[in-house]
Amino acid sequence: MKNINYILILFLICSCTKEIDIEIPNNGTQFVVNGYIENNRVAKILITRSLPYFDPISDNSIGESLVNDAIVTISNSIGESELLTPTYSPWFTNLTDTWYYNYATSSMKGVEGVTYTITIEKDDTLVSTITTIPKLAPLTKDSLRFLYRADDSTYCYLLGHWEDPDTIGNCIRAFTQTKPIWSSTFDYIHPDGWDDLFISMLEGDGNYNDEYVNGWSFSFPMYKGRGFWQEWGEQETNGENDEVDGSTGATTGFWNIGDSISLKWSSWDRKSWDFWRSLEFNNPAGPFGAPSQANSNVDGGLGVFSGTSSEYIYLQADPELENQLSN
Amino acid sequence: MKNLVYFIFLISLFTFSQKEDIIISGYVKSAESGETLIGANVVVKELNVGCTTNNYGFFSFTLQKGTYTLETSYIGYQTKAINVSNSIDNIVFNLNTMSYLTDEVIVKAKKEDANIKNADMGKIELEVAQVDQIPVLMGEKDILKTIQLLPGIQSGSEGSSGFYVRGGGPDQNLILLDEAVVYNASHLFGFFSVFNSDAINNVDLIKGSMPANYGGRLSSVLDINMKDGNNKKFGATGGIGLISSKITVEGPIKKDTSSFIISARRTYFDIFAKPFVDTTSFAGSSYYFYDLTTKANYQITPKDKIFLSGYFGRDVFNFNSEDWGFNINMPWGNATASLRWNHLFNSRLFMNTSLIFSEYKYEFNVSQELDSLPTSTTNMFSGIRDWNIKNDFSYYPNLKHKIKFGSNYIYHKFNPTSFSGSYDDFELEEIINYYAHEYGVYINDEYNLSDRILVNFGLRYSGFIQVGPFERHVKDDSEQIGQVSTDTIIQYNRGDVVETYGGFEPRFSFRYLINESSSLKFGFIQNYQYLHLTSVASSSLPTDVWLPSSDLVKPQFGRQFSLGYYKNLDNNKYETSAEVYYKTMENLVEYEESYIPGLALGVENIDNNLTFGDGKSYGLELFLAKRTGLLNGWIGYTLSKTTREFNELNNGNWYHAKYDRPHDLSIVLNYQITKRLNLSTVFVYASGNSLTIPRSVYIIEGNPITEWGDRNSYRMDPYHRMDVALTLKNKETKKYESSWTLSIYNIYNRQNPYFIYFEPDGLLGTGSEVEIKAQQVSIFPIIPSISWNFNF
Repeated sequence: MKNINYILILFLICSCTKEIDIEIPNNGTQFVVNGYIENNRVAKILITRSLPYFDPISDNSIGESLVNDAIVTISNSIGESELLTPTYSPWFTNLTDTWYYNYATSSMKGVEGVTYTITIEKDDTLVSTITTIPKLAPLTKDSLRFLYRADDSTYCYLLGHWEDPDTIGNCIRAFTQTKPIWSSTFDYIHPDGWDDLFISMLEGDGNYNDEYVNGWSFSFPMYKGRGFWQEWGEQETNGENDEVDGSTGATTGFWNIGDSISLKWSSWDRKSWDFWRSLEFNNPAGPFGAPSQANSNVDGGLGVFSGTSSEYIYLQADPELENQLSN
Repeated sequence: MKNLVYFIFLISLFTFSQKEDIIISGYVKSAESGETLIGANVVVKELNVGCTTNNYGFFSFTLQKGTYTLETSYIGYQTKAINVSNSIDNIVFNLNTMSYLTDEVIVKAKKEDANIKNADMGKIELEVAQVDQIPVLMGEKDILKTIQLLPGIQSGSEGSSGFYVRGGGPDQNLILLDEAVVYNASHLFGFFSVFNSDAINNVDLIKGSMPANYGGRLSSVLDINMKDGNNKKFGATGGIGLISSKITVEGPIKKDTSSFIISARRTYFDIFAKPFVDTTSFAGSSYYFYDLTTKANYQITPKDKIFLSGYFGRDVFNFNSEDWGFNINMPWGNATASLRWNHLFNSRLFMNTSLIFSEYKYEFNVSQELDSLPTSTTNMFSGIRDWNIKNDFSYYPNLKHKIKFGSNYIYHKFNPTSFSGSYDDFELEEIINYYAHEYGVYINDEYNLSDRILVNFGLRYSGFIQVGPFERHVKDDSEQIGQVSTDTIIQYNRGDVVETYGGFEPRFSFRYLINESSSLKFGFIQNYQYLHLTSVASSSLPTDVWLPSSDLVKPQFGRQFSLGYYKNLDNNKYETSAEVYYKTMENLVEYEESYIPGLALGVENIDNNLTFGDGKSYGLELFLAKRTGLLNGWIGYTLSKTTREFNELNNGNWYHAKYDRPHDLSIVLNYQITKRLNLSTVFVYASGNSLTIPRSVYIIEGNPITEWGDRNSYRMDPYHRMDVALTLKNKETKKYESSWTLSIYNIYNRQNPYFIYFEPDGLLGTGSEVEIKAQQVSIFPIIPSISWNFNF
């Protein structure tokens, strides 16, 4: 009887998956906006078109989907406006902190508390989006420290401390840029040992919100995020160390002892934060999840325009150091 | 209440004034076990009129003076007849079971032409004996899965015991176990139902015009009555199956006067899987479910009987991960209890009073303990608890009328989602409960207008009052709760009325007897539903949340028209019917498109995130059954369309409901090969479920993001499957009988689509291409199973 049960369990586990073809009606493409305006920085925005669902996506096809000939205007709540300049060729050399851009302001910079509207016009298409830069709710820098990964003194993670302001509705996104002790695996555009991009924290994609904890003061762990080019469990190594095997000690989520880190701590406008938060639920792979659209704040298109106020904190990943702050 | 007393008084006067009539009332029971026979037929041969026993086995007739032959019959029992010429109170018909020696019939109709003669539309009475014959997944007999094989009733996803009646949602079925509402009728994410068929006497499903004594749900009533327990001798039945075992013990407490039954079931794959699981880093992870059903009854006087019944069941899921110091514990389940008192005022007036408790609870507890960090705990819980008092009267003034009237009051406490947690030096607890009173009063008359025309009309008035204590968190102009300061919370104190709803619910059905073998029926029902089940997922889950109508959420409102033609052929050997229905539903609820599950849980009202819409369903249901003979069974086919319209979903356009299935066919055949060997088979064919598929993809910071297309605009491949079961009875001894059942689920190993997901293959930034592929998952291949059942 026992054996029969084992077979049964196997049946349950070995559900069958097969690839199928689905025809999706071609309903045309939409404008996709991924834009930022950050305090004291110029606005940077990437405008692309959405792609047919089952077509292969490559760096080339993304390049081809760029919209470089639209009229892009930004205006703000204190009466200023500016035409954004296209900054392509080659497009992938223009980096924001976290991705690429093809339009930027030349003089208008972000100011806390100011609302910004972007309009994009091309042929018959008009797309608009609006965001406000919130006031920064800073991290308690003196309390930052690194802790060793359990039973392993080669890797560590960050313990943050947060004193949440009294008003509810603080939305945070946290990112790090790393200069690993081994060479970076994504350091093409500005080769300086640092990853080219900031990566959002691992848990909840670094999206935090004070709806549960309004006004609280507490410590919390932050784990290194996974770059879009990295498989789960992949981590910079010295090439000789085969410790990374993904089952007995996946190193995703941890820094090497000795890594240099730039922590970007940003307060985020609620509506644009909702977009980033909602991406986690966009494509659930299971019978129990229902597909959900990303919560765009773009009128007439897809994507997001985010108003943020950030601070950048430089750290040395070493639990033995008394003060983690560097530079 | 005062009015009710007057009413009873008037009825009693009326009763005593008809002196020259004779009244015959009593019960129909099994001679062997003393078990009540519900829905048994009692017929006055000379007049060719009859009635069926109620849920307590009671019947009553008022006839003009004369001599009559009264005949009672019930499935699987020998018919009994007596002559009467005077009034008889409390006669008990004890029917003997048929043995295979006396009759070759395996499944016999209660009354061969009952489907033609009664006014019930869309009512199905299911015999537990029928359930026992049908092949099932892993040998677990299941009432709900048998019901899904009938026209107009659809299953959810594969293997699911959830059911959808004529385009209604899963929350629109009133599931009653000995009158107690069962809020979540499934185990193991829907693969098994909570009802252990060994403890069940009788099941009625009404999908059309439900009589006025039922209320609170739009689409159907599934009324399940537990066995009373054998009041003559002790006995046990049970079974050992692949995934669970069960045992039922019953017997007299005091012979012929009181009896009990206790039934228990538990799965054991956690026990067998433990040695494997414990060698992994997931040691301690397990899943099991169990349920316990019990009932006792006591005949206090010939006119008074009390019943106490209860159900308790739990699913428990544990997940441990050593690597992450993680422990999840997830228990959920129902508990019900009902105390009922039957009282016979006189031969014409029968009363039942019930005090009922029911509860559904779900918990999700997580704790994480990593070496260097403080322990964090998170607990989420949700549930519903009811206290219910019901008073139902059946009054039989004469042969032409059968009147039912009564009242019902429920005190609800809802806990949609609450949250508590602790980490390091802080603790948090957020609970928002909803409290409500629900009530109903009704009267229903089945009136025999002429030999050909039978009319059943009922009127119910129902109401719902949401009361404090309650906090309403109001959305700000930007529709954000998170930015709301605490002064936008509306406070209601204990007893404050938050919102009141109510309305009339007329029901009407009509039968025209064309001739002895065919009839035409029409039905109409209008009703309200004050409870709503909200789900973020595309299939029923324990995490689905029951919500009351509130200051924001209006009650669901439904109307249904149905028309049917019934014809029996070859001297009632074959039963056929064709029914059409048209149903509209208002104030259905769904989550808003932008709703992110889990955000702001506990600190805001979950119903702030709902959006409201309408539904429509129409269809044709065909049914052909052969009830008698060595070969028997049925074919049911449904052609239907079910759509939904929500202003804020799918751009306000109508869309297919999730379980809209244009075609749904079930064939059930049963063949008695020899006296000991029985073969049965089921074939089902249904259009695929509808599904939302992507429209396009876009890249956000290196990750492909899906732009989803129109809601439920794609239909998966059709679902079809065939199961067979072979039952071999071992040689009977005087004390003991047993049988082996070998069943094969999905015999031709069809890979039916369970769900489709979309998976990007490859990573950007590595020089390679990313291609998104659609993957279809099938879960149940061919599954043989064997079980052994006993009875002594």
